[in-house]
Amino acid sequence: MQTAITDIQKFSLDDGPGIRTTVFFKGCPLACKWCHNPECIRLDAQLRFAKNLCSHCGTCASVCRSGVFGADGTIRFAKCTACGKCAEECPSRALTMAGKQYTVDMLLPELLADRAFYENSGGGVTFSGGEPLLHASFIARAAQELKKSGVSVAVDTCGDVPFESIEALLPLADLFLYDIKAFSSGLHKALTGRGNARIIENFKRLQKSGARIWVRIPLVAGVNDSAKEVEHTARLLHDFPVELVELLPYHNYGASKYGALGLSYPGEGFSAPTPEALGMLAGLFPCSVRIKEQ
Amino acid sequence: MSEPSIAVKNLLDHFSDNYDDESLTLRKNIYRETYLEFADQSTYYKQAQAYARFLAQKPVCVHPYDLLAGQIQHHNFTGSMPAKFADDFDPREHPVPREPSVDDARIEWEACAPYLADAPQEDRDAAYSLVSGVAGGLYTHTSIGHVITGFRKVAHTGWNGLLEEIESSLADSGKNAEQRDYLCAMKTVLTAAQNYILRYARAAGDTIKDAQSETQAQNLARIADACRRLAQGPASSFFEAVQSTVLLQELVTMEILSGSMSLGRMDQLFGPYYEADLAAGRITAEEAQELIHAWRIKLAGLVNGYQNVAIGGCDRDGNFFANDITRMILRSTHDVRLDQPLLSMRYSRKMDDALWEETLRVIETGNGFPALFSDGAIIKSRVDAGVPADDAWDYGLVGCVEPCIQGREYSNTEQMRLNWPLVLELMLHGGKTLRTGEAFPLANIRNLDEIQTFGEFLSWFKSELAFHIQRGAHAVNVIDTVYHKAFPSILLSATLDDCIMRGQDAGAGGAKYRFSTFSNTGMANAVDSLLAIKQMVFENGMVTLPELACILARDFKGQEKLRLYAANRCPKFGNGDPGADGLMQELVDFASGIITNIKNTRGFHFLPSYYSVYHHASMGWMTGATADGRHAGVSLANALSPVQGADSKGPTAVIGAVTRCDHTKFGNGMVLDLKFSPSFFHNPVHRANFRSMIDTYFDQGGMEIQMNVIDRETLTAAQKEPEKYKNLIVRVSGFSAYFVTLNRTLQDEIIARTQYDGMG
Repeated sequence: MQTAITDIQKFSLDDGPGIRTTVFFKGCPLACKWCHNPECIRLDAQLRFAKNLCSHCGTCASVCRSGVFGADGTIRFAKCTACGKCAEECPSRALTMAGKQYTVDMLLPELLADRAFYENSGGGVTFSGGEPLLHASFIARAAQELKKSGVSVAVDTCGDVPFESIEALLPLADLFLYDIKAFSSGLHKALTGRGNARIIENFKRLQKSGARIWVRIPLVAGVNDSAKEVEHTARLLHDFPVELVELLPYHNYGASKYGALGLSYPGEGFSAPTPEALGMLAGLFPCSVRIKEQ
Repeated sequence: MSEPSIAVKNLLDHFSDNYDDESLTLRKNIYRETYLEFADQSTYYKQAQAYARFLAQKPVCVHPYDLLAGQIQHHNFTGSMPAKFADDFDPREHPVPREPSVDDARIEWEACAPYLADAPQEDRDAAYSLVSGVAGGLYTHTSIGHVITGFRKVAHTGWNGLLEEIESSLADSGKNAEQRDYLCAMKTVLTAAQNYILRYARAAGDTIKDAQSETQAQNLARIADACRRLAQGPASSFFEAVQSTVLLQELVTMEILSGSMSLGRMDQLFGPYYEADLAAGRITAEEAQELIHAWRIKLAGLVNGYQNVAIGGCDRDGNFFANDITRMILRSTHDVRLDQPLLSMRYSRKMDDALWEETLRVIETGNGFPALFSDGAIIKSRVDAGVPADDAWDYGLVGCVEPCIQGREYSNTEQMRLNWPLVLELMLHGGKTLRTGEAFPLANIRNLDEIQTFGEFLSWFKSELAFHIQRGAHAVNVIDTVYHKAFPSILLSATLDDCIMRGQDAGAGGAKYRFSTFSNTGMANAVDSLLAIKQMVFENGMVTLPELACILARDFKGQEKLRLYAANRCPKFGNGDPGADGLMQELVDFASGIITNIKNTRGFHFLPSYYSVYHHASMGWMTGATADGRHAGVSLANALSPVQGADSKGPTAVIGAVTRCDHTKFGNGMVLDLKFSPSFFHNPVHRANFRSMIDTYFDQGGMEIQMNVIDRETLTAAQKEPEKYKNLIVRVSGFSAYFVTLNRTLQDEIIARTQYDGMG
């Protein structure tokens, strides 16, 4: 069983407790406008170009069979078949492929490398992306092995998957990081491309199962951060309490990734709520709230 | 940040006023005249007389605003030589920091050569090879210094007490003429030291009339009183203990104009005096803190002195050690920002959270202090080297990071450093260097065409590494047999166990522990270069070995694609790649094994180290292009760290890589340098995890770790040359924030933000 992973990020401090290794899986049912991992939206491998590393050696143009690289230095992403040849040959690694195939056996040694750090910090491994639960069987197998080695597992999900996928991880995940992008379905659809009925339904079921949950709420000023909107989510959490809520103020650190993928940035013009606004919103929740630093 | 008192602010305001431009020239002239006057006498006699005369004539003053006497010079006295005889030497014209230069090596050779007149030619050549080695960038070599003086002995025993010990030693009928001569010279310098301290007492007394306030007058009277007492006997109060260290540091750095004269565990020394005074109501915590500020300011007056102060650690029974002085020194390092003293903390998991928070507060200022040291690794390394457990726990740090059994050890921790990439360069270019015009022997000059496999090449490299380690150690051993005859350190030796008892200079073997040291630089460049050669030459056949040698000789001119390939597509140390990290382990363990088995001339042996001070830059300047894609003249990797920018998997991968090596073999120390952005530490979650990271590093056998917290200039440079800063972590919300992958506008924003955060 193989699946596409874009990054294995060690020393992750913001994807669950302690020092963690976060695995970013490719593929997501949503396409949030502020997404800072756009290379994880599509399931298939994609070409990525870091302009500031390019040495203009022209190797890519000479190996490409699909006419992606123009003589004028432009890159026609639409023509790319993701064969990966240019990325293999690029001497400065300005060209890379987002999405490398891994088997569980390939992945495990990388995840186990930092065991001592996990133990000392109460950390572990977080499966993220994209939407990791699109690869539920893969992750379940990996989680099984990790648990045998005493490594804690967290899953960062948007919840827009069949509940069976979540269920498969219930006995294996120590923590679910559950994103709630917006409460109103219409707003949710406008911002992510899909409604949130299944997401909310899955959340309730997950909470009822007794799982340990941190809810993560990304907040964009003037878009999904109105008190009214957030109050709805707060009320949901009143009825379905969780351990922690993390408010994630918008940041545009993903913006350059879009250009690198040949995409335009859908979050143009977005901004973060003010610290005061965030503080006010935090007060709406019945449980512990942590406001993420920008 | 607490505000320092007005008195301390005054000291800082006047910090650069104390520029002493007379003493060095005066010293040089006095030494020259004295040596001429007593031409027929022994070196011990001449040296003692010259030093005594110098102390009698040197400018001494106490300012109305002084809280402590001594160390008035604001001057870079330090270098590798103990006495400057060159006519045209003017310290102000030398660049700061003052490098151990070819001139120094030449002066050392010229001074020592007469003592080698009867030595075999091979030994004379070996001693001279230090000059050519330094000139060619193969070695750095420092003659002397780099030790912890016996501050505790002087504070506890006093100068009269030491003189009594000398008399006892002289009374021993077993002493020979040379020993008696040496002990008499000790008496001369100690008496001169006493008189020098009395000059400060008088100077303080004379300044009272210029006091601008009652407080100033009282402070000056306190100094005068303390100096009068300290000229004779032991310290009897916290003030006197602190004052005694300033005076002794000045005395010993006047005797040996060399770097890294370090102080050792000052919380351990000052603590009992402070506690007694506090309990008796003779001092308040505020007064003591003020004195610690003043003490540090005095030490900082010796520019580029590399004076190391250690805090924390353990007691004889292994219990974690910290007291109020530990905290005061930490607070002072935070509140009064100076580049010295270098602060080292002997770290333990058992350190309480409050003390850790204070430590982290200092780390995040970005000054690089304190460096953290593992008692576990260091004490074991000392015990393995032959120091009994009874003494091994009581180590301080010298200069940058070198462990030293304080007051009982003389090991000259900067004796020799070998440039590993230059060894590779010699192999590829028939024994010639590319940039300096020097040539060096090889164990085997080989025809590059004939090397069939990487295994062969690696074997060859290891044999050349072994050859140059032996050659360098031999050179240092030869110089060691005579150096102390030309440049005895008489005052220093009097403070170190067991020099008085043996009637012998520390350099001759008088100290209780007397290792020699052998440091190494550019390991990561060598490892990455070997890996690049393996892949490009022996696996892919992209280039032959002779072709690669030519390409390197031309600094990759016309071969940018190959250079980028070497830099970006070959395995690199520091990323969890078992082949790459394993090769470093293999080579470091190999080198450590060889070094540890080489005996020195004092009945002990060499200790390896893997730190580079700033010599990764100076040696890098003298090293040509390397197969890992590095251009000629570019800095080598810092200490045991990966090549700058080659680590792209974060600090846990670097830690994993570095701890594959056996740090308990690093008797003379090592450095692991990690960079963080200042904003990283603002998140309380990050702070907690940072400590877990440190704990894990030490659990896995790490010996030392220090933090670089990046400033705006570096980030700006990272914008301009991103390929050099791929390892820079800017951690925010769950996003892989490698700074160089962010767009320009964002980089600007973060640069601005970092500056602001840095002011917090």
